[in-house]
Amino acid sequence: MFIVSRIVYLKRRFKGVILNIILNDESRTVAENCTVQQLLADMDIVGQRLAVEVNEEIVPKSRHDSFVFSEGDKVEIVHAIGGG
Amino acid sequence: MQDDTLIIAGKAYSSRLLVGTGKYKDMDETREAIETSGAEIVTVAIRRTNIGQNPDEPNLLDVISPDKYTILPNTAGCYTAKDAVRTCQLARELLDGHDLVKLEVLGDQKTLYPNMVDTIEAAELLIKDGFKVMVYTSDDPIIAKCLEEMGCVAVMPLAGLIGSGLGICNPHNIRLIIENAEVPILVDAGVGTASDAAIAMELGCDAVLMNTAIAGAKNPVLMASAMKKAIEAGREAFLAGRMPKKAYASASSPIDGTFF
Repeated sequence: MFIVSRIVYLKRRFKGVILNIILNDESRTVAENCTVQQLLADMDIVGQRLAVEVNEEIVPKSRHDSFVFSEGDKVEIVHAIGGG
Repeated sequence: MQDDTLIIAGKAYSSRLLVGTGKYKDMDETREAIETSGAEIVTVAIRRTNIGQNPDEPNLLDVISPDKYTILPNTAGCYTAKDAVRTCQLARELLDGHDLVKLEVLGDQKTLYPNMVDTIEAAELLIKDGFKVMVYTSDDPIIAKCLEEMGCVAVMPLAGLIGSGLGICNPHNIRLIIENAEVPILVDAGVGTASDAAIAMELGCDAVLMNTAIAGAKNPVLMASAMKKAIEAGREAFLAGRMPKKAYASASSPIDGTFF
């Protein structure tokens, strides 16, 4: 009962302020005002060597803590792997 | 041989072997093979991070540190100029502004043969954007010269198909490209074993880039060692200048002074 009411509360609390983004080709929701830095923190990959692109534009490291997502953003997070 | 350095985009390297990091069993084997090869320039691919999968998996760049190696991000898997340019831009961001890239735009999945129309288009855009482009190309000497004139810092013709191990399939074209070049020419792709690497260097290549020939060997670390020696041997043989070939024998021991 508590859980159900909690969900209802959260839905009301965040009504209209949850954003849907596409992250590496998968759907994901983030809170309004979520920054790139916060997303990386949620994913537990802060400090790793990676690069972030939103709607095919690079978001440089210097802007990770100021860049805020918008509804429908297509986000790519890439890293280096073995290749020839 | 102390001062026989390879210079790419103004930076000097003592090793003429460049290696890829793909197809190894694990990170330990990658690290050991690359250390053994003596390579100073190491290629990597750029791909999506795994979300929620193996968060503890070691990062390639922790194993192959950019502090120790010159990292050469590639555009492998790109079939259009647009994808290749985008990949390079992500790589530059990833590597804190490092702008040396290996451009390859593929044309066909079966052969992985380069699409030269899109390769030229991508090279033009990348050079304009400040990248230093090492370009994978077909072994056409006219195209190779064209890429040099556009401003590519190194031209890298295939000697055989990527991952094929077929060896130096058309040494005559490789030689034609080398004769005309004013930037480093590297054989990229085709090398299968140490003698192939030596042949490429004897032709006068400035360096050789390989991945599968080492990673696909039964003992990759031992093959890395063999390749290091083959590159050095081939280079020294090229500088030494080989003897002319003759149709008939020429005795090595003097004819005079025989007692029989």
